[in-house]
Amino acid sequence: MTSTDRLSAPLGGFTFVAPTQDACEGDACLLPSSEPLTETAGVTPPR
Amino acid sequence: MSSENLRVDVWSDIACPWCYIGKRRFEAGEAAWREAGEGTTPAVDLVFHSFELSPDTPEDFEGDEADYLARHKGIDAGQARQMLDHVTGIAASVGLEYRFDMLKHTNTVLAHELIHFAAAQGVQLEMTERLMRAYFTEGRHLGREDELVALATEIGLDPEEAATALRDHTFRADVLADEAQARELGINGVPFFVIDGKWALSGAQEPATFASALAHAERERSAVPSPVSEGAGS
Repeated sequence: MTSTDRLSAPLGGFTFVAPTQDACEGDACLLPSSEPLTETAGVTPPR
Repeated sequence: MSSENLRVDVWSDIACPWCYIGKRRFEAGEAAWREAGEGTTPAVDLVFHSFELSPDTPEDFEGDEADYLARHKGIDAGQARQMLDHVTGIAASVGLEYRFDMLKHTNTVLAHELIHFAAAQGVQLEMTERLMRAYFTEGRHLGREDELVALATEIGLDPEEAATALRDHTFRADVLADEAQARELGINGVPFFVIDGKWALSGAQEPATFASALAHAERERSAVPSPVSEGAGS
């Protein structure tokens, strides 16, 4: 398997199983984030 | 790859401090999940995907990470150092030594190309780990071809083949394809984990959260048929 194997997301997007934790967006990524990602294409927020 | 295995896709950047921490926490979570499963848990196929946090970063920057944050992000130098100390402490809690004083801030696209080259040779995980340690702990310059080739050689890859792949940008299209897919999937931040093509976790979650997510994915797989996928959805 290689990294070029492409993931197919399920119709309706992914299901989050936990709130967002520390992550990097852009290169300003050193402050802990407490806000979950907002709903975006292909991604659904936690149920 | 066996269809019985749990596949975990991870989008990350070499230059992302939370990605290395997240990688360690995932490994700890996987170990805990496996231990709780007492030998019944399926194998995990971990697949890393490219995500450049800052593709406009120049290859060379004079100064350390705090200088970079101060000059390019307008963050007060003192505050930048506090932030870096905070992350350094969290990294230490998972056994990682972050040396932001030595770190060479650089563009990571070549490093991502090297990871794809390594993936084609079946050693993607080894290359990813080696590059993250080189960047955060050893102060190696990952924007330079000679440094990357040396690191590839350390994990057993052919230096001539690695150099050619980097010089010809053989895997640039794969890097861009990973990033295009991240955009299609709505992935804005990294690390971003997807278990079994369905269950998502964003950020450097705690090991217990990863363990629970793996257990959840394993239970759900045996309970319901896998979803039929035709794309990212919208």
